[in-house]
Amino acid sequence: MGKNAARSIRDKVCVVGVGESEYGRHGSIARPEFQLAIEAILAACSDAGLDPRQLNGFASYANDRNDAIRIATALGVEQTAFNNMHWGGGGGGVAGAVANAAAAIVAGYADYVVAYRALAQGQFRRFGQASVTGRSRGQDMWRLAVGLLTPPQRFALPIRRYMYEYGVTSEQLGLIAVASYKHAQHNPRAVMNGRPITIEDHQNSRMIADPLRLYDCCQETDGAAAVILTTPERARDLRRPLVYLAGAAQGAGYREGAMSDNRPNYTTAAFSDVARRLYASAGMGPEEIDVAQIYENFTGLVLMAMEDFGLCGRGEAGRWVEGGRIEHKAVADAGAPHAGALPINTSGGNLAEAYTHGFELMVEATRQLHGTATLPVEGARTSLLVSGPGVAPASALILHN
Amino acid sequence: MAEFVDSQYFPEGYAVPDPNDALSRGFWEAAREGRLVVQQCRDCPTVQHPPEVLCHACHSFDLGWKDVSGRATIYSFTRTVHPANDLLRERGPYNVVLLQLDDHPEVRMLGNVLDADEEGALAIGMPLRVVFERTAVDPDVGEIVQPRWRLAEPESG
Repeated sequence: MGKNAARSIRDKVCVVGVGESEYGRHGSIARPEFQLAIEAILAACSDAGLDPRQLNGFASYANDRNDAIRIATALGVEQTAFNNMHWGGGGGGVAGAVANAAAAIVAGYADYVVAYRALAQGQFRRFGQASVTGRSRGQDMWRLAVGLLTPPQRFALPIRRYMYEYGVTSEQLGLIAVASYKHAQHNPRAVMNGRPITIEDHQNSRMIADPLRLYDCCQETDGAAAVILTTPERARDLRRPLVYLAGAAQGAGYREGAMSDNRPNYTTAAFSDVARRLYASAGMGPEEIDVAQIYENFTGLVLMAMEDFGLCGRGEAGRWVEGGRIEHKAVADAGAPHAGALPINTSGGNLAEAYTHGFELMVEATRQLHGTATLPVEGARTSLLVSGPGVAPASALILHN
Repeated sequence: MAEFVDSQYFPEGYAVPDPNDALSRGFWEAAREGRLVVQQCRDCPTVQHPPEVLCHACHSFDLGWKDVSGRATIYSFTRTVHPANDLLRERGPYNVVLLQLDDHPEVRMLGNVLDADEEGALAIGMPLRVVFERTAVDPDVGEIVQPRWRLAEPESG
């Protein structure tokens, strides 16, 4: 036990409720993004059995447009005691925002904190589009000068290098997408429910930024998701079984934010340092993980993140995901040798449920332990959430019951 | 002798770098003269790209520019097929490479390889040499010249 053990957040906070708005393809939902945020928060309160007026803390990330005071005012909460925005990193802030909410509870700033993200790309800007005119300056100019404008273009570079170094194939990337789509067929909330894909569909899908095909890329959707956290004592008076935050970590290692792809450890998902701190914080290791939600910005980065978190060895993820290992056993092909060994993205995730900047993965990580998942992993006691592979800062957390 | 090219890799109307950008002015001034440079710390051996406010190794603010040979190797690459906007839709697929400078393999640079937009034209490990694209002459900021790259013969010896 290191000197930080006494300062660990382990078992000091519970996730007591989860919720989301309707999910839809970008542009398909007419209600304003702000309303979607409120709908998700109310759904999470309802799931917890909590009066929304008791919320007194708010945490989000990625510069969410729907700020805490506006939400607090709309809900008529009696007190706003904690307002927190996690810096940068896009979807790297999912677990970071939840961990900040948890820290506020341990610190005594607030009693019931909601962490949330609302993202209606149809109402603002699609992440896959970028208009680029005029003169570029500052840190952006280097990417703009070469036409690296959208996330798939940008992340094609580390994924290509990773595939080259370890002999990973496009079909192996496709297995991540197939698993998400299979899981989404059991999830009525999922945008891709009713639209299953096969590995052949993945291989035949159009190229976006080589080596990334359409089905390697997360969706562009409208929606919002939220979770509520409180102390274990308060959680006992609420509706769901106790699910504890076992540990959390955010941030980056040395120079992982270096521009123009100058970060060291280029063929990792930039989690080496976060993963080490996460497991130390939770007092557990990768062999104890029962189910995992791994942010799929792009399929290749999921493989790289699996290696960073020690779920398999370095360079092994491509082969490791074969044989149904990451598919829930209810959806794995008959006779798949590793069916259900470590199911990932069990609600369909960013690829097939919805892209709430990854927050739906936090909702699903919780549901797996609340017993409310659409595709429950039998006997799951520990649930890993990995947010924002390839970005800095990124974050991750582990829940357990 | 540096090679200059007058054709533009991206269409008219696509964003061009501001050569008076405070941090990177020396890079664009050198490009006008057909030189590729990286930022060099004057207090320690560190070179870094893109330019930063201070040396990330020794925290010196005393930074200058170092000429490099303009030879490099493809470290990774992509061929963008799905366009990010209408201007690029008209242009069609283009490539982006991440390259390692032969003089300083610890430094990576983003670039585009001319005459290599077709599928299968690029591979990791291919040697490159720099050329300089006369992108625009701007009435406010003067000539804007950007490094681009060509596939090179492997260097003998």
